[in-house]
Formats: sequence, structure tokens, C-alpha cells
Amino acid sequence: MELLAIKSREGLVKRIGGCHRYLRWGLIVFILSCGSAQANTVRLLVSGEQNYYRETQQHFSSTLLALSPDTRIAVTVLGDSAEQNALLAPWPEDIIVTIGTPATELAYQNRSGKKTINLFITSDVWQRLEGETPDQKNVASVVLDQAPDRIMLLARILAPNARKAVTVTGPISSANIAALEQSAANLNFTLAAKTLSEHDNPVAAMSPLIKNSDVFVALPDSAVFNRATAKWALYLGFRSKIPVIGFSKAYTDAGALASIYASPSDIGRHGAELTADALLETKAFSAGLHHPRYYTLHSNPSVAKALNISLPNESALYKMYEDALVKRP
Amino acid sequence: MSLRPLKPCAAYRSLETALGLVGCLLVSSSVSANPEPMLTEADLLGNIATISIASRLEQTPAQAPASVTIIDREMIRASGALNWVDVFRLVPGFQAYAPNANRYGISYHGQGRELPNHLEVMVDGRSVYDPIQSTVIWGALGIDFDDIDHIEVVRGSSAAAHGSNAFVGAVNIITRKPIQDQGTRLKAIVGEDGTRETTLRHSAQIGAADYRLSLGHRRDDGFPDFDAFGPDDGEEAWHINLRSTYTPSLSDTLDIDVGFSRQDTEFGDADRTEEYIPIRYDSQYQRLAWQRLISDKSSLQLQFYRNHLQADGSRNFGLLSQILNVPPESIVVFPGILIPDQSIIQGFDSLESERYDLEGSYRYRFSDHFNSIWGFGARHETVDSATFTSSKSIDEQTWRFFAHGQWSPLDQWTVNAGAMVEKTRVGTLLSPRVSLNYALTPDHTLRVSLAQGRRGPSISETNERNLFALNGGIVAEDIRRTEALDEEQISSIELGYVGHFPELGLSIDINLFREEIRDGLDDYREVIPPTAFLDAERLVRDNVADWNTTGAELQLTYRPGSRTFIRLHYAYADIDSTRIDSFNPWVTKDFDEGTPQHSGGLLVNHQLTQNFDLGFFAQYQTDVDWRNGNFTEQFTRFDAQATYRFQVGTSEATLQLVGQNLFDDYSEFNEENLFETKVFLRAQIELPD
Repeated sequence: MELLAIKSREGLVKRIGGCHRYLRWGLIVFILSCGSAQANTVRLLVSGEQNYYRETQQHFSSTLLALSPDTRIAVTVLGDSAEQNALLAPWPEDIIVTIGTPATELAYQNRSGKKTINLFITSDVWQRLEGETPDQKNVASVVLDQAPDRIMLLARILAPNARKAVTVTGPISSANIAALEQSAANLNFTLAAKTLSEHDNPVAAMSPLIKNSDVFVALPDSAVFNRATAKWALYLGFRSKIPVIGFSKAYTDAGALASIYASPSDIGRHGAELTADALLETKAFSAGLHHPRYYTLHSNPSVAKALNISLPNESALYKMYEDALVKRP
Repeated sequence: MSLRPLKPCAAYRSLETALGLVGCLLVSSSVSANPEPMLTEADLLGNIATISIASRLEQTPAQAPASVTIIDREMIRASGALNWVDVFRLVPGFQAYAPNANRYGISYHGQGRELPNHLEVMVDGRSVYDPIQSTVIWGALGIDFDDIDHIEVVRGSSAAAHGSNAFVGAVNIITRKPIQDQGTRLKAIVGEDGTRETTLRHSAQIGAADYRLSLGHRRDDGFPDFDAFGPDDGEEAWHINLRSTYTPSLSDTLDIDVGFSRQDTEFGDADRTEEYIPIRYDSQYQRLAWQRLISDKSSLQLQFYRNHLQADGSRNFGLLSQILNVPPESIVVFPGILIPDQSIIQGFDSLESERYDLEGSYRYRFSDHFNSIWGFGARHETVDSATFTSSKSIDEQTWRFFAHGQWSPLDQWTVNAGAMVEKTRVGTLLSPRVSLNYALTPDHTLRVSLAQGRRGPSISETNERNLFALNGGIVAEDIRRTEALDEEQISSIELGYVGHFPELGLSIDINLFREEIRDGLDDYREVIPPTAFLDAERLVRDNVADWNTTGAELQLTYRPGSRTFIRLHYAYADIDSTRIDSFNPWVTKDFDEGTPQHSGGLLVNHQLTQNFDLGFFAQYQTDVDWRNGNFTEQFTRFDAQATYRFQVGTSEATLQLVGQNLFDDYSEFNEENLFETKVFLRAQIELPD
């Protein structure tokens, strides 16, 4: 165990050690809010050292301490060994907050009936854990992936005259086709979807699909599926002058017209608000799955220019999107 | 409690790691390998691949171990570029020049030689550096600029990633994938100096494969007044290329490319036009590349290609008796020796080079903090010539192994380390490179990079001879080969800064560098007995040159709005050189003026309406004393272009008017290479599928 960081009164986190990457398991970081003898306590379990976990942790901590200054947050960063991680439990704090799938799994494994808030997992992970461990009245989860209707809504805003939307799905995202079709219908799209397996020729499958469409909507699947299909979707979309709507910053940077996604700061902020509500009991604890309250829109003006699409700036796009979210069917 | 255990995940990671280490590449997971597919946070946050030339890894410029310049097709169009020299004028520190109208010299921190030999150039990863002349025969590449997607340039020694010939830098010309275009495009260019160019490109599918077929023809008359000096320096060239992509599965991509090109032009120095030789280059290539995405962490690439180049160049100056103005029966070559009358033929008759190259590389991401690539390559090269080399056919095999790792121990720090080991005729050559990048903020990065490169001499550098033969027998050598050439060596240090100001639309790349080259190949003069036709000395190639280059470079891109694009580049280079010109008597010279001390350019493009844009490019360089040419004075050249796009039925059409060197004439490389104001019109129509 190594003391790595101290939270000052001003909320500034300073790293005072640097070799934590080599001590992967069991490193516990205490972030202490000074000056309170009766502080609320939170145990924050972080799945690893990945940048996105750390960014989520930072935004969670800073937001929570702003909302509930008397909170003590004890942070545990997991290592690679499940056995050694298991030794870290139990935790005496009032609320358990997890970041990432491994931490969430560990929390499920060591449940004590305390309120638990899981952040930065996918809805797939949530469904699996819920299926395996029913009766989770004290567990809330903020998932990373956007509901399909949010992606379709962005497509509608950026392609107001589009009639036909298309997508390709893989082994994971094919489960979302029905929900996507419903969302598409609500927004006056007709949706054509094709499910690809490993042995399908992606170009041959996607080429006619995109050629006869007005907008391509990318759904997240496994990382390797995303990598295998993204470049062809972007090439074919560009060739047919069809905008591609993505689900990550990387997708937009690679050539999508725009993407909607929950960033680590979005998730951290949402999680901190749920935690503060639970600690301060300002609202009833809302168990179950939460789609991210906050989202990030990222657009690519170069692509818009190449496709001759009028693209509002990102703040205007946010406004349009917020308005549309309110008015959506 | 039944939970998905963590241990198998860790074990899986270990297995993947092990696979990466031992190279068991094909048994790893593929897209559908997971029996219970489930979306993870890593799936949502994974990168979409982009490849960087600097290290062969996917990197941003801020992570790269060297300075990188990207020239995209929009820059090429906006600059009004019509040939390779025009394109590489956009790269800071590059020397791009025309030794004669249709032969180009392109180098980085070069010596201003007619045949620059220290820059590796690739087309889609296929090296086009040719062993016949130890350079790139740009006119024989057979690439239509509209087929280029972008060009990646490493400014600085990249031998660690691309081998010997990337001694001072590397260029990869990335052509568009067939899938990127559809339908038929017709293009025509007409303009000054008798320029006529037509190209046809057709992109479609055959079965499940996408292909692009490109045909092109070009001719021009060369420099306007050149005919007055003797032979015409124009060219006639044509090419046919087929580029195809086949994706048999989600994980696999096959590229099959073939091409042929022919260029008829002249070879020689513009200040000695009486020695001009008409030359024909016939070039062909075949390339097969296979990429397999093994997992989100790993991928494999295999590439095999064959290059073949034939150069036919000779000129019959007529009978000896006519040249010497003597009776045919009294031709005296040496005192007391009479020979029969015969034709004087200058040139290298027929030269042929062939290259087979096989390379495999494997990328593996061990963690978010450590990324790697390693691979191997084997190359077989043959040069055939009756006169150019010491024997009719010379073979050479080289082997190479390379590896590169990128490690980011902390958010702010990135360490790159890589090396190339090449087994060549002159021994096993090691070229390492290491860099340390420090991100002051996510948008501002400092870099220090150290590189060493070893370059083995090419086949022609090792074996080239210039012979004088009478009655079929060799009587003199104008250029002699040295028995034991060694490798050239470069050591370099670079300090760089990469900055982005997103709110301003501004990007800046600055580097300070010092390169030290030792045992550089050059020619020294050697006294030989005089003959009636040759000088009393000849050239001998040897490791007789040393030089240091110190300088700074800047490239700045500014986009004040979506309609305006501004790019500024500047280079300062100070060369301190010495070369042995003669051993007996001992004479040394330098080529300090062989590269311009100051050079730069400003490209501005503004879109006036959705269909109409104007571009302007100014280029400046100081005096140069060209090694194989003349001293030429500083010049500033102004180019401009106007592009108008419109619809013809369902087809998109483009008209572009290009004006080059709008003001004063200037000379480059040779005084006779006079660039006047030139105007060209480019018309293009895209016919939909």
C-alpha cells in the first residue's frame, strides 16, 4: 500500500508518488477531505490504470467533493490478480462506487447490501451481472453506451431530409436492431441493417447497403469488429457522399461527420451526482440502469465540407440536440 | 455466487502477450472468437487505425520519434502542383529541382546532386528507390496525382524504420484505395511548353473485389529555348496501373497492384547538351499485400513485390572519321596505332534492374502504455548491363530485421525506441533511433530524438564504370570502381516542438537538428594516361566525404475558418563539408553551397464560394551551387490557381487554371534550365457509375 495523493481543502489533487504503475494491485489512494469528524465515506474501486479510468475518477472525485464537501473518498486501484483483488474486501465505507468492469465484478462478488454505484461499464455487462445476481435494489449503474435512439436523433438532426438509414451489426450490436428500428421509425427513417459475421466480405456487404442510403449509423460492437468495419464504412460513406454518424471521438476523428458518446468526465459527473444524492439522501436511491445523463457531441467540419453538409458549430449543435431530445417522440 | 471470473481475463491477456512474443500469429482470436460476445468499455473507446510512417506504428505527430510532414491531395491541388518537384517544394528542408526538364532530383538536406541517393521513397510501402542510378526515377513512377490520397514524409534519418536508403529521410506515397472512388474520371491538362496530358481512371468492382484502372499519357517539349542548344529535352510518357482490394473476411484485406510505365526523355547535363542521350525507361511492378486484424491489440502484414526497370540510352554521334575530320583509313588513337573507322556511340546501352522483396511485420499493443511492431524482410536485387557494371549480371541479397516500441510510462512522457539490422554485402549494419517526447500540455509537446543510420552502397555505386571501348575492347575507364566501399554513417540529434492551438485553428511544428555524416560516398579525381577522346583523369568512387548539417525547420498550418487554409514552411540549413577531390596531388573541396541556406514557402487557399476557390503559393530559396550543375541565384517563385466546380448533368466537372512562376524568370540546377511564366488548364469530369 502506498500513499499517493492527498485531496486538499481546495480540491486540488497532487500526485506525490510515481511508481504506482509498477505496483498494479492493492494500491490504495486515500483522498481525504480535511476538517470533518463525521464525514460520509465512499469506497471508490477503479479497474486499472487506463487513462479513461483515471479521468473518470478525477471528475467523479472533484464533482462529488463540490457537491458534498465533507465526503471522504478512499480509492482502490485494482491489479491483474483476481485472488489478490478479492483480499481487498470488505469495505467499511457507506457507499461503494466502481469504475470499469473488473471493479464492478469485484463489487458484485463482495456485496454487503450497501448502496453501490457502478460507473463506466456497458449495458451488456450490466445485463449479464443483473442476470447472474438478481435482487439488486441497492445497485445503480451508469452505462457508457448511448441508447440507440440518441444516435438516431443525431442522425436526424444532421441529415434532416434523410429517409433511409443503414447500419451493420456484429455479434454484440445485433441485439440492438429491434430498438434501433423502433427509434428509426419514430424519427421517420426506414432502417436497413445487415449483420456481419467474421467470414463475411465487409466491402461486398456494405457497398450496396450504403450506396442506397442517406445516412450510415455506426453501432458499437467489439473493438476488433469496430476496427474491421469502420474504415470501410467511412470509405464507402465518403464515396457515396453519405454522412456517417459514429459513437466515439475516434470515429469522428477518422472521418465520421459526428459522434455522440459519453466521455469519462460525463460519466464521472453523472456518477458523482448519484452518489451525492445517495449520501445526502436528497433523492430516493434510483437503482437499475442509467443511460448517461451527460453526453459529448463531436463533429468533423472537414468531412461536412467535403460532403457539402451545413454543420452548425458544436455549441449550436448541442443546443439543437438538447431541444430535439426534449421534443422527441 | 457465480460470476464471470477475472482470472481467465488475465490469462487471456497473458496468452495474447505470449503470442505476440513468440510470433504465433495466426492462432489468436478473431472477430467471432468470443463465445459470449459482449460490449466492453475498451470497445467503445478504441482507436480507429491510422498509420504513421515515422515508426510504422499508429501515432500522432506529437508521439512520433521524428518530424513528419503530411501532404494531402487538397494541398497538392491548392498549390497547383503539376509534377513531383512542385509537390515536394511543400516540404520544409526538401530540395526539389529539375536537373533537366523531365528528370527530377528530390532530396532532404542534400548536396544538390543530379542523382540524390539518400532518400527512401515508397509507393504504398513498395520501395521505388532503384539500384541502377541509386535514386528514384520519378518520371517512371507512372502515378497520376489524382490517385494520391496523401504523402507521408519523415524529415530526418529514418534508417531505423525503413533501412539503408532512408539515410536522411523517407517518403511514402499513399495512393487511394479503389474503394474510395467509383465510376470513371477523365482528365486533360494543356499548357505551356507543349504540355498535353490525358488520364482516364475507372473504379468499379469485379465480383467481391474493388479495383481502379488508371491510364495516362503525357508529353511536353521541355524548357522553351532548349532546342537552340541541341537535342530537345521534352518527354513522352504513359502509364497503366491496376490497384485492387479484396476483403475476404472482416479480418483480412488483400491488395493486388500491378503497373507499367514508359518514359522517353533525355539524360544529361543541361550545360553540356552535346552529350545528351535519349533514354527510355520501362518500369513495371507487381505487389501483393495481406493485412490481418488478429485482435484489437494485434495485426499482421505481409507484403511481396517485384520491381523491374529497364533503361535504354545511347546516342550515335556518327563515324570517327567524320568527327575527327580525317580520312577513314588514317584514324590514329594512340601514337602509332591506327584503328578502323567506326561509329562513336555514347550511353549505357541497356540497363536492367529487378527487385524481389518480401516483408512481414507484426503489430502488438501490450497495454495502453506500450505499443510495438517488429518484422523481417528479404530482398533480392539484380542489375544486368553489358557496360555499366563489371560483369553482365550482378545479384545481391539483403536481409533485414526491425523492431520499434512506443512506451508511455506517464501521461506526459512517450519513449520511442527502434532499430533496423540489415545484412548487406558490406556487413551487418545497425541503425538505431530513440526519442523522448514530453507533453507540456495535451496540445504542446517537446521532443528530443537521437538517430544513427548506416547505408550500404547500392549495386551501381559499387560496380559502376564508365568505359571507353574500341573494336569491342576496353581501352579506358572514365569512372572506375573501388574494390572495397564501406557504408556511409549518419548520426543526428533533433529537438522538436509540436503545438496545436485548436481555438485558433493553428498547428506548429518546429525542429532544430544537427546531422553528422561520415564516410560519405563521393568521387575523387585520378590522373590517367591521355587518349584522343577522354580527359587525362577519371573519377573514382570512394568513402571520401564528411559533412555536418545544422539547421532549423518550421511548418505552420492555420485554418482561420472552414474556407481558408494557410500553410507556411521555412528551413535553415548550414552545411559544413569536406571531400577529397584528389589524393595525388592532395586536394580537398567542399559542397557547403550545395543546398540553399534559407528556403520556404507560403500556401494560401481560400474558398470564395461553394464552387470556386483561389490558391496562391510563393516559394523562396537562396543561392545554390549545384554539385552536378551550375551556380544559380536565389529566386522567389509565385504560383496561383483558380478552381471552379460545376455539374454537367449528373457528372461533377472541374476546371482549374494554374499559373506558375508568375513574375521573373529564374534558373535552377543549370543556367539553361530557365523557368518562365507558364499557364496550364486542367479539365476534369467524373462520370458516375
